[in-house]
Amino acid sequence: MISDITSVFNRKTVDVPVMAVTGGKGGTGKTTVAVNLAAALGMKGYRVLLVDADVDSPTAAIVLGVRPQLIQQVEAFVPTIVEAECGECGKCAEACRAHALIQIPGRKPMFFDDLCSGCEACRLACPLRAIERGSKVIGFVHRAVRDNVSYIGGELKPNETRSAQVVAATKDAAFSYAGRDSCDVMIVDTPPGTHCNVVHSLRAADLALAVTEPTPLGTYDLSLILKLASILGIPCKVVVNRADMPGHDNDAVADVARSSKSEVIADIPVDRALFESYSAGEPLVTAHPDSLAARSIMKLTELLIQQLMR
Amino acid sequence: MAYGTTIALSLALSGDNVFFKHPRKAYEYIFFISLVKSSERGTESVAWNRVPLKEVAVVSGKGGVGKSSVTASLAVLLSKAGVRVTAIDSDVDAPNLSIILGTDISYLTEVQASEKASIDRAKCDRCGICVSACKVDALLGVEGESPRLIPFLCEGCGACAVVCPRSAITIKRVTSGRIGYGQTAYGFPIVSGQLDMGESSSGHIVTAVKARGRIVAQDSASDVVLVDGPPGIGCPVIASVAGADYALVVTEPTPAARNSLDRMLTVLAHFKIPASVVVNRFDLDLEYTRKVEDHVQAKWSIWVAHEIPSDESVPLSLSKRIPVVEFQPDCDASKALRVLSDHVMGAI
Repeated sequence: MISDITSVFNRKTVDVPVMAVTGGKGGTGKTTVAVNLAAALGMKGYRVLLVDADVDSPTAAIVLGVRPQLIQQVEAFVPTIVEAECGECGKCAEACRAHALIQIPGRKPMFFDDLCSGCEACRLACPLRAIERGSKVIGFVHRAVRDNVSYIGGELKPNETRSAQVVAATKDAAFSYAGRDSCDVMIVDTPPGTHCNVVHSLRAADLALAVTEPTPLGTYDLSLILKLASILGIPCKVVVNRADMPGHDNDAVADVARSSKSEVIADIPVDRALFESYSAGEPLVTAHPDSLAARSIMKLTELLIQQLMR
Repeated sequence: MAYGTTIALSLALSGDNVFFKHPRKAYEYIFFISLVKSSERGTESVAWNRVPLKEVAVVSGKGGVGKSSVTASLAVLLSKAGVRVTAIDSDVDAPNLSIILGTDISYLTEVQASEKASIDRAKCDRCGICVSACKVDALLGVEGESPRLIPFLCEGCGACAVVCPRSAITIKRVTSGRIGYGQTAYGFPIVSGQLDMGESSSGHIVTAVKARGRIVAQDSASDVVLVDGPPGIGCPVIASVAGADYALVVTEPTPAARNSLDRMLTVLAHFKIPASVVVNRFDLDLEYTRKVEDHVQAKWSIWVAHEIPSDESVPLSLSKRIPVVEFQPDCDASKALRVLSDHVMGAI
């Protein structure tokens, strides 16, 4: 029953291998790893679709060094109340669990846009059909291409809160492009954390890579994301970034990985070249292919080709 | 609840659409409603009175720039200077503040901030109307059976319950996180939240954690509440900065962090929360640090007064679970943090 649910949850609309790069904690190097894996696979001749699902702070395009074009606005439902039809019965306000509609006896309902989740319960509840489908823009989807790497990135419109809906729209757009352009692999750069936008980002992944750092913070947050991946039925492997940083405790990371039936599959060393390529907007594997960090990423790429692309 | 609704309505009616003209007020209303909502849910009984203490939120947009490290050291420094502090970790997805402070948190209170649909199979006649009403595809139609719920996708909006002709669906509260409390070795309390895995209502838990934190702050007669916020700019972040008097935005000298900084400042400007910017690890790229500072001054009229150097003592202090200002009080990062703490003290 449980596996049944996760297999439905992870169903893909297009048959393409999907790898999500996640990590729990922020700033561990998710975007760096995702962009460099995409570039490395591109160098090997694979057609890669890189998806930036960190819609709150989308930075993969900056790190990849592309200027994306807007391809789609993400719109969400908001109720449009036809006042002439409204019978002031209050059913819509009663149905709205987000308290975005308030009905005072003898008045038309009042709508608070910031609280609306876009669920349409109000429209469905109205016996007089006085609520029509309105919409508002909550985010954007962008696209760019660099060599063999296609990029699709979502962006939450600032001051909006519905990140997960923007992630879902971004992934839908990504799958339709993956089908159209017959991509060989999709790499999804997820947001930090473990809540709804991460759940939507991980959805349909064949494999998740949890990028962490060997600090007590990285280790603890890794334990959370590994737990989430296992609940969602997604296999997850661990990549330790800044593996030789001051005060590193790699054994603690390995222990956490083991206790979640996962394993550490790559160590990326501290490398000034990584910072420079990150700032310059050029993937490390193309900018400094001989650097230590680039070599460990290339090794990881080989491993993933074996595991994922057979 | 009746009392809460009355206030909410009178608030809503005071003046014509006052909320749309004043976004900050609108947010206070939203915050208020969520308090009413959480008290309805029996998790937190919070009276609506603005605490007469200062609340400072530490946020960033981008993750991993040093929010929690800055917050921890700031809390220790303020506390040592005689300011009574309450620390709140509102990054409920990855609660790290207590780890840096070396404090064990006991998670005592469950938060029922999520709601999910529950189908009564005896009443269900398998018509499938609910499946098509669900906008988040959380209901799975199964041939010859009642629909199944995909719990990770259900947001508890209740659209399915509205359309079900046999009233077979009820929306039930579920436990979605916990609130914990600890007493640090530095003489101030910390309130921390933790989201249950697979749950999605971070924003509501943040609101509950902050409400609890304010009570702790009042009980301990605190002068200032320091909120360690989550990365991003979405719902948990907005819940974290709601009601803050002042925000510290931590960034680093990279194009990616600058982009996220701009997005964060857009949100803070929208909610009319005054902000200061702190450039962490500024010496990684001095030229870019200047660029960020000029940009922030030109676009947002914020003068970046604070720069923290990269310093090996910081990761070392992390590994020892001691805030850097205690671990190495004389290192460069600690010196910069002391300047920052004096500034924050001036601001409050």
